[in-house]
Amino acid sequence: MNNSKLLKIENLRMYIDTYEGVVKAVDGVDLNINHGEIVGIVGESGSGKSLTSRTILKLLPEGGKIISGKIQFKNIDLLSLKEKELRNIRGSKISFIFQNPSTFLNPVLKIGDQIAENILLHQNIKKEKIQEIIINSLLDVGLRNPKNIIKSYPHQLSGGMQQRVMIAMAISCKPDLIIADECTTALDVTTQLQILDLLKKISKKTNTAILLITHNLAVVSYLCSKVYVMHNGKTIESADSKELFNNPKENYTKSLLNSSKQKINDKDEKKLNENTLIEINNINKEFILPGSKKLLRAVKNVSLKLSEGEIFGIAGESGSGKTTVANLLMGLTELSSGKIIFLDKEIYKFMKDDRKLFRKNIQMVFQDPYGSLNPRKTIGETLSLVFNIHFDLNQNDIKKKVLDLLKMVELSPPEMFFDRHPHELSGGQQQRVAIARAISTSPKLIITDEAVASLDMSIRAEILKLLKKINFETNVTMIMISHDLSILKNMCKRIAIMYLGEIVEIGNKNEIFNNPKHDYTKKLISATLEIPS
Amino acid sequence: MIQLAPGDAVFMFVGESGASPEFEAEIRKRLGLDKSVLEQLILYIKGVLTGDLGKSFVMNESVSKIIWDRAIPTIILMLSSIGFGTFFGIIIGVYAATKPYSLRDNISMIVALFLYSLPNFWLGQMLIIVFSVNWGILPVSGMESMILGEKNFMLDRLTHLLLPTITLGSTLGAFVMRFVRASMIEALGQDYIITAKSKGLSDRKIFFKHALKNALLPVITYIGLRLGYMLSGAVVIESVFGWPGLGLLMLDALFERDYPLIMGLFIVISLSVTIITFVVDILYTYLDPRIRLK
Repeated sequence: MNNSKLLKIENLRMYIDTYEGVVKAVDGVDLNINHGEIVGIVGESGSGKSLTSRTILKLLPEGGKIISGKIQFKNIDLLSLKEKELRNIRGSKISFIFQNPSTFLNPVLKIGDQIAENILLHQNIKKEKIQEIIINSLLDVGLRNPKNIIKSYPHQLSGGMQQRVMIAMAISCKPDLIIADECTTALDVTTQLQILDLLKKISKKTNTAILLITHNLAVVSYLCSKVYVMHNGKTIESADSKELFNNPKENYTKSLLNSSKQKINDKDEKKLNENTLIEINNINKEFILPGSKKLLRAVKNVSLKLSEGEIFGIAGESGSGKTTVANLLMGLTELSSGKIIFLDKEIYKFMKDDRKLFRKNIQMVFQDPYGSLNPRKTIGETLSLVFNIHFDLNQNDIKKKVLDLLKMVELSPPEMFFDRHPHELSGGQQQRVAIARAISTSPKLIITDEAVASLDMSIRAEILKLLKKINFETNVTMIMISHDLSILKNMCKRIAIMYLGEIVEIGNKNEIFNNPKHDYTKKLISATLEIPS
Repeated sequence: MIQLAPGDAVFMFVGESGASPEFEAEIRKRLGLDKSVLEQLILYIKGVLTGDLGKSFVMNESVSKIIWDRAIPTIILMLSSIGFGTFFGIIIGVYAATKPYSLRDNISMIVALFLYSLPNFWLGQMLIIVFSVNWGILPVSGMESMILGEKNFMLDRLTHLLLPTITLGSTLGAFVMRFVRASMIEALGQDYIITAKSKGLSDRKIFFKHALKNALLPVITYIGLRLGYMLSGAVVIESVFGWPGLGLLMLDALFERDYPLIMGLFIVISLSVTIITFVVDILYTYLDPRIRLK
């Protein structure tokens, strides 16, 4: 491996002029990448890691200005280049892979055309030969049947395939450096592992350096040899991957590591009573796919039994039917067959007899907290509404109750949050409000559907702690739905693994993690990346 | 409905001087106006369902033939106006979107605002005054002139077409302009534009290949929807320019209380708007691969 310097960034600052003043998005970044090296930048959202990577090629956001710094790529000073000269480097010497392939690929252009564009622009190649090059790069990223893929549009491919196409596009001109910006965040765990392995393979085979930007420390530890930690636009710590995880120096790095490990005290684990709260008996749900007569069996023969006060986890990849199960439990869609018994009543009969009581007893927390709160209502109004519907109280009592709730979800001072609108709150605070809304009716069952998936690591840990606390204090039963096994491992006692609509394995978490029986469970566990401890 | 309006077909027929009651009654019978409104309606619907739109009172010819003859000038006018409006709308819209809130953007948008606030008939008359009356370089009205007639057939038609096209197309153009601009700005904010930039594409390629194709999709639906408005605009424009199309025909028919012709025109026009909207929807599925029919 050639160990000479490929990219050297010194004291880079990029500020953005906005209506509300100057945002110091990148405020002092130092970075070194050698040929063929895989380097990671970690940091939470808003730390400036993505903008740093885009500043390298002057892909600045509107109002963005480079204030100071030096970017040396091979022997070229990138910041002194004109736009036209920069265009020659973009896509050919340095290429990008972005987070969400479904939005970063142009929906109305064929895959083949989008890859060909890159090649035609930077290499002097006859049109006839292009097809061959595209097919080869698609084969390189492990896509079978490249001839069909060339002719398809992005929406016809799965998320994993789209990301492979992005990678094929990125490597098509044999760049020296690939910048991968959260390139696996939107993917399922098993797909994530495949993509990371692919990047590793490409880097080794062609001696391409990779700059991996991610909030996920586990991904960094799996792939990178060197890691930079970013906070508030600065690189605050850099070290060899192993060194950083074993011996972090900065306090921020330490807290980031701790929250990522999501260790939650198991000491206060309480004894469960044996009362069955909900019993799911052999339920099935079938959908008829629109446009064809095909039947999709989203949920197949699922049976479950939950005791009062339990935290139960359902894990599976997207499309495995976990959310459909949640919707069935909430009575939002109708069962095709089977029975759900909640508080000794069949749920549809329950709903028919006393819809209010049913809704009061089952609550849900959704993935996107902002989307699930009414943007026009203050937090106080949103939460009061629940009391207006379910309890017969006067206004003063309601306000007192709401303030208590806000205190319970650790939003203080509660008076201040009472009059705020959702957009004035951070994602973590919004999710706390969503949780407050869910517990306001003192339900018997709360279903959380990927409730922490869109949150940053440190906030994620806090929310999980809060959920655990609520479970402990109110003895509410929880069903946690997640694609992330590491979350469930820390939260739940029992876990069910869902695959293609079926529960393939169910049991105590230790049993599942130490001795998985089903092949899919094994695959899922091995694909779950963990931070070395 | 039309029969409720003041005025009577028979009165128009016999003229100001009047006629004997017996003669009036005979005409009434011949035109089928002696029956009750309901009966007339039932008879008419029966006719329509069998493809017979009836006979014009005034011209004594089948309504379908009259409409068919006069439809072609209207189709020509519509097509040229749509072409004119869309072409300039897109070009100026894209031009404005390249630098939102800049001088060029603001000027383009003021022009657009001005154009679609102007009443069509007024703009038409102004154009006639300037180009035809004052400068005398373009014909005032009609579709063909007597003198040039056969010799320079195409040129003659085109010069006649020019002013009505500009008048009718400018409103559409102004709407398209604003629509394309908004749609382009939205498309330029999408993630795939960053991908395109990161590939090293030039701004022009990004604009025309990546953004415009996405931005045009809603514009096409929009133009389809505007066609109905344009047909009603054509009624006014055709009368201003004496363009012998459906609009002028409709106006004449209304003044003459030619019930079958009016009804026939209504049916044909609403039917064609429906069909055009349907065609646009089908077209859309070809342009946007995401909703391509299976």
